[in-house]
Parts: sequence; structure tokens; C-alpha cells
Amino acid sequence: MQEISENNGSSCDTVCKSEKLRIRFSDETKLLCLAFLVGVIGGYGAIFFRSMIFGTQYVAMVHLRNLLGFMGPYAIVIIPAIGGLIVGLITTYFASEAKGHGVPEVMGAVLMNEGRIRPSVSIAKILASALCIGTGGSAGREGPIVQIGAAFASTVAQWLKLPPSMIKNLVAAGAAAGISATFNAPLGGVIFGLEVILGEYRALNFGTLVMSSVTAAIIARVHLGDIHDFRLPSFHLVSPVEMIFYAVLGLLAAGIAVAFIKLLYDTEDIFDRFTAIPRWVKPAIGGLGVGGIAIFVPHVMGVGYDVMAEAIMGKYSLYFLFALVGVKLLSTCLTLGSGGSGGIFSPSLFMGAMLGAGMGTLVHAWFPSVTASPGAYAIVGMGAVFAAGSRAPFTSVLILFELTDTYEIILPLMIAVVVATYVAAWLKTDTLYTEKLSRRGINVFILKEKNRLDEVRVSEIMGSNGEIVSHRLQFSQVLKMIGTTTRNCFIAVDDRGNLKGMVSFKDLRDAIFHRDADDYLIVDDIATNHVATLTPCETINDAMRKFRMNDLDILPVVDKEHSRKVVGSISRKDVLSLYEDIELNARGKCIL
Amino acid sequence: MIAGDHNERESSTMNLARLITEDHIIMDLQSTESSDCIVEMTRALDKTVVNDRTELISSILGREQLAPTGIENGIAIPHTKTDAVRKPALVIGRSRKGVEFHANDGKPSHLIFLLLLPARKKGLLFSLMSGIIKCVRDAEKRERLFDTDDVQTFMEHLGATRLFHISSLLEQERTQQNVPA
Repeated sequence: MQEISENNGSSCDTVCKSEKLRIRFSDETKLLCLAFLVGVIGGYGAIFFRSMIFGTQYVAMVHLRNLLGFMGPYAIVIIPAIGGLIVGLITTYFASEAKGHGVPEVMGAVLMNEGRIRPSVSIAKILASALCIGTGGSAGREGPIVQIGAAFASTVAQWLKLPPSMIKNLVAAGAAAGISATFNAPLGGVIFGLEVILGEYRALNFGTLVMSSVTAAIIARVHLGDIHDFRLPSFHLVSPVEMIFYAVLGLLAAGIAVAFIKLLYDTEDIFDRFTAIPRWVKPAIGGLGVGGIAIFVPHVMGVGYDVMAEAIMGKYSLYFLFALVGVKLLSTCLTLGSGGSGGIFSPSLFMGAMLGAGMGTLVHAWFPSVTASPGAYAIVGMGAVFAAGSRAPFTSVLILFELTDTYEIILPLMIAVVVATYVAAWLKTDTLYTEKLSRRGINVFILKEKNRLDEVRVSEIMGSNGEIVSHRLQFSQVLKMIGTTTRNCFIAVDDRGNLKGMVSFKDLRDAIFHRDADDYLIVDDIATNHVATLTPCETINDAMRKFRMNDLDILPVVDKEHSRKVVGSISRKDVLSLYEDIELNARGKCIL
Repeated sequence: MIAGDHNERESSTMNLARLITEDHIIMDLQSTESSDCIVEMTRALDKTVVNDRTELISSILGREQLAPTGIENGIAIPHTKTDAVRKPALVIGRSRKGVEFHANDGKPSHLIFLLLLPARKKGLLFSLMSGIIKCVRDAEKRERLFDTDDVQTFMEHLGATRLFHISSLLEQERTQQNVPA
């Protein structure tokens, strides 16, 4: 009987390896081609979206402002409200997923809906976000472009009826393309897709995301030029002592990020409480709030890259810088918490830039000989606040590096980002992205780990848990084997190694009190013949489902579907151990 | 006698008693080949027992291919578990000429117990086989079974009527003591 086990084991490896190679080659080729397409769509989508924002801005801030000229400076209060009203109508009656900053919706689709996003979301998000940002709403364009790129990619994948793993991969590629084109940061886009959307770093995913990200970046550069939003004055690390100040900046950035998470969703809760106010009106109220702030501090309106650039160049006073942190925080919460549409990426960068510039101004005044210019602290602050809020340190470092094109900033940036990320994780488990999902009762960390079970194949954990015996074996021989085997059941096979059934200890229980028949019965007499089977290429989730349906502790593994050739077995205990590991891993990842 | 032994006898007794009926006893089997004998015995079963006769015969013969069902002393217990039968059934046949069931002692079988169980009842196999073996273990009893021509006497010798009697007594006792079956 041992021969049967050994032969089946080696043939299984061969079948699995060749199947894996076949699958990997065709899937990879398909994915790379589609990733290219997604990169093209993402790149042009980002350009179009950017143009729409500028167009809306022009119409709102020039023509509409002229129209409202009779209101004098107070026209600025009405414009974001008008934008909010139209956004409210779009998100209420066309696509509710277009509300908010977009990335949680993409993450939710990947975790719970196999990456499926409705095609109408792309169109709604473009319109809603362009209107919101163009009319002065305090939000970023990156979240929307992530959602737009992901929605387009999901639509293409669903049209082609691709399997869930490929849809998710392409959705991440769409998100990467959006970030890449928007920031002119192809590497940052790739890492964003891996770190935030998929939550894992795998070679197969990396290739697809690189293809779409590079394609989108090339398209953006062709049409918009190879420009960077920020240019840092020449920077170098003045003294190693400066690292302490950057670490302190990281600490402060964590505080700002956690405050942002709390206030954003608290604002959402406050608006939700007013059920008497129609949903489509609430963004207009948020817009009024932003407009009211903008009368005094117009810097809070829109994306704010120009304000960030000026802060980096040291154009603002210390008090104004710190005031801008608070005012931007409030404005963004009003815009997004009321139901507006836009991202949190730029607002995080904005607050980080002001915080960093402010701290840089202070430390440079106190310790001029050992510190760099405030501009360097502004850049580092941007990365630190975003990393703390999103818990995506790798993405943060790379995007900031690509935004500034200054390698010397890497060391202080990494220190501040790591400190900010760890402190923020200690203060609050959820991030700007996962908080929304947690409030819906979705534990992102556990779901991510559980989804990984769809990637783990039966072949990776199967073993020889069941003792393989001939179905002709006399029952008295089976009873002798119980004393010597460590295995938990018997898998009955015929002379060719094909599955005939299984004998569990439950089946043997009846034999204990009726020993007269031991020599006259064989394994086939007592085996349960109709037994669920698994194939090596099925997933652990498939195994768990079959264990639940069949109330067995061991399942035989056959070489392929509709075959009965036994190649091994898998135990319920092994699968449950994997699930326990998931829980532990998820708890560990909650910390980071 | 320890409690376990008593329960063991009781359950195999109970189960076997329920299966022995006059209609399922063939006093003079004509076939001399095991496969023909099996076909002949299945004819005693009507539609209340058999779902699919062809499948039933195929299943019994398939089991015969795996390992012989002849045991010592002229006894054979061909059996199978199959959904071709609706409920457990036992057909008892007696062959004067003997049928080759490849018993351990090389002798042909004269008393054949065809035991059929639905797949979901395979757990009864041990108790029923054990009951049959105990029933025909005694050489004198086997002689009496071979000699008589009367079905009722045959059943008497088989201990069926006594088995029925014991079975109903046990049932009464359980009812009085409210012991679950």
C-alpha cells in the first residue's frame, strides 16, 4: 500500500508543476496585455479628469464668480455650495459609490466583491469629483483618479469574464495607473497598488502594475510634459543630529493624521444624524462651510498644490503655517464628511507640508547651524502625514521622492515616515482608508488574510493524513493497522490506485462489539463510497467548504477533476491551523 | 456475563430477527453456480425491497469479485451495500447440491445467507453478519437445518421464532422501563 502512496505523490508533483506552468504563462501574458490597456485608459483618464477640474475651476471661479459679482467677496461662499449641490444629486441618484474619497470603495470591491465595480461609477466619479474640486471643495484628485482607473479596469475585466484573481489584479493596476499619471510617479503608483489596494507584494502582481503604471506615466508625460509639482531648493543633510528633529516631526505627523481620521468620520456621523435634511443637500451645506472659511483663508480651497509649493519656498509665517494645518483639516472634513467627492491624499500632503514647514521654521530659527531649510521639513512632513494616515510608508517615500526628484531627502523622509506610521498605528488601528470599511463591520486585516486562502492551493498543504489501503483488505488486517498507524482514517483504493471510499474511526465503532465478522468483511464493505474529493489545484477555501458540507476530518485528494486517482489527502486540522494563522497574522498587521 | 456482551447479543439478535421472514426463505435452490444462485435468490425480493434489480445483482456480483463470501462449514454470506434496495433484507437459501462460494475450507456452501443493506445502513453489517455467524456456529443446528424440509421447522431450527419471541419480550421490557430503543 505504501507503493501506491509514493507513486501518487511524485505524479502529483509533475501534474501540478506542468499545470502551474501552463496556467502561469497564459495568465501572465493575458494580464500584461490587459494591464497595458488599463494603463492607456488610466493615463488618458487622468489627463481628462485633470482637464475637467481645470475646466470646472475656470467656469466656477471666473464665469460664475462674475455672475455672482453682486455678492462681492461673499460669492466665494456660494460657489462651493453650488458645486456641492450638483455633487449631491449625482451621488444620490446616479452612483452612491462616487461619494467620498474613493480608495475605501476600491479596497472594499477587492476584498468583498472580487474586484467588481459598476461601470457607472467611473463616469459618476469623474463628474462629481471634478465639480467638487473645481468649485473649491477641499479635496484631492488622487483618490478619485484611483477609483476611476480601478473602475475602468474592473469594467474591462468583467466584460472579458476574467476570474476573480485577475479582476483584482487589474483593479490594482488601474489604481496604479491613476496615481502614476496624476503624480508623474510611476514607481509610487505601483507600490500604492500593491501596498494599499492589494495589501501584498507578489511577483505576478508587480509585473502587471508596472506595465499599467509605466504606460500611464508615459501617456501623461507625452501630453503634459515631464513636470514635477514641487521643486525643492538644493538640499543636503546638514548634521546627523537633524534626524532627531525629523523623528519629532514624524511624531507630530502621526498626531495630525489620527486627528484627521477621527474628525473626518465624526463629521460624517454628524451629517448622517440629520436625517430630515435630504442626502443630496448635505454636500451643499459642507460647501457653504468651506466657502465661509475661504472668505478668510482662500488657501484651503481645491487641491492646494500651489499653496504647498509656496510653503516649501518659505513664503508663509510660522503662525499662518500652523493655522493652515487646522483650517485645511476642518475644510476637508466639511467637504468630504458632508458627502462631497474627492481624495484625502492632497489634503494629507497639504497638512504635512504646513506642519513640516512650520516645524522647520522653528528648528531652523533655534538651531540654524545643524538644520536644513524649512522647505526640506515641509517635504518630509508631507510624506509623514500621508504615511501615518494611510499606513502606506513605502508608497509615501516613493511618491515624495518622485514628486521632488531629490534623492537626498530619502534619509530624513524614511525616518519621519517610519516614526509617523508606527505611532499612528499605536494610536489608532484603522487608517483613513480602512476606517470607513470598519464602520461597516468589515475587518480589512482579517479579510485580506482570508482572501489569501484563495491563493493557497490544496497541493501546498496536502499530505498523507489518511492510510491508503486496498479495498480488498480484510477487516481483521485493518484492525491490526489501527494499533500501529498514526493516521486518522483509511482511504480505500482499487488495484489502480483509484478511490473507492473512506473508512473513518466512526465506521469502525460498529465493529467493536461484533468481532465475529472480522475475518469475513473487507474494507469495501465498510467504506463510505460517495466521498467528496479535492484536486491539488483547488484552493483552501474550496477545501473548507467541502469539509463543512461533508462532516469529515480527512478528504482525499485526486489528481484532477472527474478522476479518482488518489494522490494524497488533506486534514480539517491542517486547514483550521491555516485559519488560526490568519487570525494571528491579521492581529499582527493591525499594529501596522 | 458482562454488560457489554449482553448488549452485543441483544442488538445482533434484535436486528437479525427483524429480517427473517418466510417469504425470503428458499428451501431448495436449483442453481449450482454462485452467480446463478444469487440471481435466483434475488427473485424472492419484491418491489417493496428492490429499487433496481439489475443494479442490485451487479452490486452483489461485484462484491463477489473482490473477495470470497463463503465461510467454513458449508455456509456462505454473500452481501453488499447498495441503494438498489430500499431497506435491509435477508434471503436464506438452502442447496442440497452445494454452490461454490470459495470458502476457506474449500467446501461448497449449502446454506446461503444473502444479506443486503442500503448504503446508509452499512453500520448494521457488523451486527447482522455477527448474528448470522453465531446462529449457524453450532454443528448440530446446522445438521437440523440441512435435514428439514418444512419452512416453519427450518425457521424454528434457525431460532427465528425464538428470536422473534425474545425480540418482543425485550421490546415489552423496554417499554415498561421507558428505556429508549
